[in-house]
This record gives sequence, structure tokens and C-alpha cells, in this order.
Amino acid sequence: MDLEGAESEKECLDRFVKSMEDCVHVHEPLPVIARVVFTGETVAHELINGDPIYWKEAVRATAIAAFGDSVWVEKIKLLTQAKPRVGEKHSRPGPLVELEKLVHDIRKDDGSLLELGRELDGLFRKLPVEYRQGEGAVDPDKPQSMAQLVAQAHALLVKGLKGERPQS
Amino acid sequence: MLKFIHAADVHLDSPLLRLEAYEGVPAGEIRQASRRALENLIDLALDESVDFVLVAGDLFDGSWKDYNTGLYLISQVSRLKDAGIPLFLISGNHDAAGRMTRSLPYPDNVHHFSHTKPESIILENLNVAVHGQSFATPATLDNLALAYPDPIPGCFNIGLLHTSLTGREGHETYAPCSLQDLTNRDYDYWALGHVHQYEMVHEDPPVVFPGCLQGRHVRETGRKGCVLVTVVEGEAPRVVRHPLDVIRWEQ
Repeated sequence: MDLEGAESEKECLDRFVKSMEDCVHVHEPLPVIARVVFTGETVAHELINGDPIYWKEAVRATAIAAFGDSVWVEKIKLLTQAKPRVGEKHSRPGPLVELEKLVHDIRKDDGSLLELGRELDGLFRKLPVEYRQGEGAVDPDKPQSMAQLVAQAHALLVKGLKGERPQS
Repeated sequence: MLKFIHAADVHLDSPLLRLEAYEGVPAGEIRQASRRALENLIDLALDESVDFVLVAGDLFDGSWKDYNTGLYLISQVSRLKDAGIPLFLISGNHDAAGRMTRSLPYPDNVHHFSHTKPESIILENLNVAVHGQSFATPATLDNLALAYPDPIPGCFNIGLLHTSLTGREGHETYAPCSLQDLTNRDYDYWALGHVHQYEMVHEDPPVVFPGCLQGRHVRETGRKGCVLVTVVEGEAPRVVRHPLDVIRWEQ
């Protein structure tokens, strides 16, 4: 699911419904079991990654409302990237922009990601088993896994700094 | 002719504590009772082809422990959506905005009234105006009714409010108001919630507590459900109780 340029939660969910409509139509009358991967540069990135549990359940709720029993959303993966709102980057310089630049630089550099992974490895080992295994587990040896973790941490931090409380 | 359902105090997935203490108690059935009662409510709305459904607060018992409660609700209200039936909700003391830590986007047939100010929704095809306000915090002690909007001329005006009026035994006096506060608004129907016992407080215009949808413990005895309201032009609204409970408590 490409969310490139989507401006709001509603627009993201509307795109999801439109995409699933096409999928359901192609496979009618069979039910659809979907694994959804969200990608693209969007200003909704913070919203999505700042509270991924909420976002995944909101997608499931939207699927239930739109398609009932015809669609079951099994897994959801979040690979979106942050996109500054028009004018925001230049008109509001400050710690948030510096943080964004820092995160951007880390995410583009596999060496930095692996170094971060090594630093956090001890912490990962202390996490409960459900955070060390399965779909949501972080692999400190894989730059892509660390990049996703950095994106989520960034979104959560920005949300907190802006005074928005995650739901889950 | 206009036909609508007025329900309140669903307390979806309300925990029923200490059931295990009783040998042979059908704990599973009792735990599921609020869901089955809600399904009965939706079935009734579909069977009667009502124009809309009102829920006057405490749809939820409190903040959800996980998202299953919300997803289940969406699956049910989507059945109304498929039939083109709007659902109007206000939050009460149990599901006040300040108490709920989780939420999900509702389908577009659902209108959840704001907790910051009273709102009016007009259904132009039916000439109906629904006025309502949600609780911002559980212990709402302001008289919300006083700020409800004036009736819309030419419409059948409904006030949706979570209150125990000047007080009812066993219920905290939230959003206190007098019967006169309500009748002075010149609405055609007041759809109240909060009191778990059915009560027709006033007949013209009807001011009604439908009671809770499902009795949750031995102190909530007798049949529980909603009211079905039929309005024929030139006649007084006809209010009929419909039991929807799946387990009934008696003493």
C-alpha cells in the first residue's frame, strides 16, 4: 500500500479501502486474507509509527466496516517514511528539525544502524520473549530492522514532544 | 412515519467479577451476555427497518483492556451501515472522553457527539434533529441540558442526554437537571441514559430512560432492553419496550 503524499489518517485509510476494493472485486466471491505493507513518504508517518498498535487496529476496524467477513487483515507491516509538511521545515527550525536530520542521517547509514544495534543489544536481550521473537522482533544485526526501529522511536518521540498521547 | 430505537447503558464487555465463586454458574454465557444483547439490538433495528438508532451513553463499561471490544463493536455497527441506518452516540460517565484511552475510527453511519459542546445533527430526509453532548469526564456535574440548542423549527427534535435528572437511587447524580429543564427546551422526545431501570419520566413530550440493555448482576433485576419509538404525524409518539437481554436476574 503506497501512502506516498497522503496527508491524514483518513486519507491513508481511504486509500487502503480503495485498494482492497479492487482486490475483493478481482477475487469475488472468495474471501480475501490480506498481509498489508504500508510504504511511501507521508506526513502521516508520525501518526502511524508513533502508535503502531492503534494504527494496525484502525486498519482492521476499517476493513471490518468496509468489507465485513469478506476481508481479514492478517498481518500489517509499517515501512513508511517521514515527509515534512509543506513549509514546516523552513518556517519552524528548532529541535524537531535537528532531530529529523539526525534520524535521517542514521537511517541512511548502515554502519550507524549496526553500531546502534550493538549498543542496544544488551537491552534487547533483557526484553520479554514476545519482543525478541516473531513478527515484531528487532534484529540488531540487520540495518533494515534497526532503521524501522529508529523510525518508530522518532515518530513516538515527535508525538510526545508535540504533546500528543499515544492510545495504546 | 418515523421509527427509531432508543437504547442506553450497553456496558459492552462489562466484567462480571467473582463468578467463579459459584459452583455451576454459566460464567461464559454471562460474560458474553452484553455482546449477545447488543446483537439483539442490531437485529431489532434491522427487522424493524428503523430510521436510526440512539445510544444515550455508557456504550462501553470503561476503557478497553485491548482492541477486541472496539473491533467487535465495529462489526456490529457495520451491520447497521449496510442497511443504511445511522447510529447516534453520546459518551456517559463510564465511557467519558477523559476515561477512554483507546479508540477506533467509526464507520461513516456513526455520529459520536462532541464532549466539548452540544451539537445538533439534522436528518433532512426525515425532518429530524438530534441534539446531544458527550461527557468529557466521568464525574460531569454541570447541568448540560441548559446549553442544549434551541429546537429546529419544522423538525422532530430529540435530546440525547446521559443524566439521572435530580437523582435516582443507586446512580450517581451526573449532569444533574430537572424535568422542567428538559421540557422547557420544547423538544419532541428526550432520550436519556444512565439509570438502568426503565422509566417513562414524562409522557408529553416523552422523557424516557430505556434502562440498560442487559442486567449485569443480581441487583439489576427484571427485563432489560430498549424502546422502539414510532412517530406518526399529528399523534403522540408511541413508545414500546423491547426486551433484549439474554440472561435475566430476579430476586
